[in-house]
Amino acid sequence: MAILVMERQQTIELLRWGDSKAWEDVVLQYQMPLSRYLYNMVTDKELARELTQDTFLEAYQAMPKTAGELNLKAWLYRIATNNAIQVLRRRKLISWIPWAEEMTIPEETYNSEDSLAQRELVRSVLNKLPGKYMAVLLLHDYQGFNCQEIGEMLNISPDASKKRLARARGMFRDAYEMLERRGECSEV
Amino acid sequence: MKCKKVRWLLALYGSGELSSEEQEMVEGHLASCKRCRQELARLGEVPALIQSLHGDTWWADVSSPIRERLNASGAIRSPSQAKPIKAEKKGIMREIPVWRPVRISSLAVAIMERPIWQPVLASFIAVIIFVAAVLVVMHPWVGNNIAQAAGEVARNNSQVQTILGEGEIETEVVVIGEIALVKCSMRDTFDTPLVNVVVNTENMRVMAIHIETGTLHPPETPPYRPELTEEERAEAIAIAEADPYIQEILSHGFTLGEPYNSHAALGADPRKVVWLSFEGDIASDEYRGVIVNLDDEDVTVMWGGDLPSWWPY
Repeated sequence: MAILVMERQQTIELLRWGDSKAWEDVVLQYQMPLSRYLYNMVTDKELARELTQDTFLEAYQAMPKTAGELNLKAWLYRIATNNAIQVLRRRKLISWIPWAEEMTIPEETYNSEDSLAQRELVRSVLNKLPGKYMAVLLLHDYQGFNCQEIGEMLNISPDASKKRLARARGMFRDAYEMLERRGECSEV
Repeated sequence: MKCKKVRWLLALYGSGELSSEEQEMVEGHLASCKRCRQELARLGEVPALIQSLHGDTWWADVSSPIRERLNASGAIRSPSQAKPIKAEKKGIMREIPVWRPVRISSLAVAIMERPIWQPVLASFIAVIIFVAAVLVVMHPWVGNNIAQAAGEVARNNSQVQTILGEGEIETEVVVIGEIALVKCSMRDTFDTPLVNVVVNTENMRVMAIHIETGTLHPPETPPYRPELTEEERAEAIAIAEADPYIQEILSHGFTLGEPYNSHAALGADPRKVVWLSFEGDIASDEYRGVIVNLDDEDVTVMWGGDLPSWWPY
């Protein structure tokens, strides 16, 4: 693992060069966090797997066109987020709820104490939010990035990412309570 | 201090994202405001809820497919195939594998310099130009074929025929990506309803049928549901307005039009589906609005034409 002891910028140069070993290390290092992040965004494992692959392939193709210093992690997350938002936007536009695939939550999800059901509920609520809010919420509260880093990833100012996070948490809480209430009603 | 000023900061309290000034401001306000303390308790639960997703340990191992894809494209040589050279850059004191891209320009010059290749190259370029020209000319036909096929699917739909009655059905088709919106009406008559059909252009199946009930003189025994009740109208508006996605769109100068009911009474689906158009963009006559499903309170945005730069992703 010679690459690990090299400086970050030298790794970037190797990646720009198309070095297969360096790319393999990048994939091994980031595939787990990126695929989990994408799964929470699109709530579909196969799609998340595809998007993870696309993220690395796009990064590989675009890498030689980059110049100067590059924050690889932020850059990969930016590509992943853009791809996921594209998919969500397309889904939002083409899914015609009455006949097409519906986003329903199983009845037992509402009141069960089971953590799986809880996660499904959280995912359903997340999925109700517009993509950019979902992204900032996951990057901060799930992936553990701060607003400064998120700003870099999403190409917005740190201040804008703070405001977006605040708004996203408010929206999430409202939607979560609404679904919880609906669950209580259905139990009655 | 007014609650409004600290409200957005509450959502970030305890996340290490506030400056010391902001932190003090929030704490000062919380000491004297019960409502904001309750709000903080509500919002404070959000990070923990999101973190509950960590319970799911699934992740995708994409290393082998990526290696295969890159190798298949010939883009990357494995270290064993590559010819090692000594890296000259400071700090890289090991032998690194190298893949050098071939310069297309120098290759082209080399070929052009050989007279024997010139006619071959010329005919090759001519073929490429011809194929490109054919594609450019054919393009509208390809698009029209999709529109024509979608129009035919809508015209032949038995439900559409039931609603419009006997006669020649006229269609107007707009293709937006994977869906086609087909407006169906009777030729030369003004007393039948206008029916909008959504067709999936990938499998040419009807995804939804929407009837504009506001048309003149509907038939005596309408095959569709009569007007919505006042409660249903109010409910549809409330559901649409509560959606953050819709709120973003409305914040750009749009208002919601009068709610109309749609295909609920066709017998195929008992659910109540309401259409509210986006109004206010005078420059556009695109098919834009919200479909609200009263049964599950879900909304879907339909936006014909290009997406504006402010579109809420």
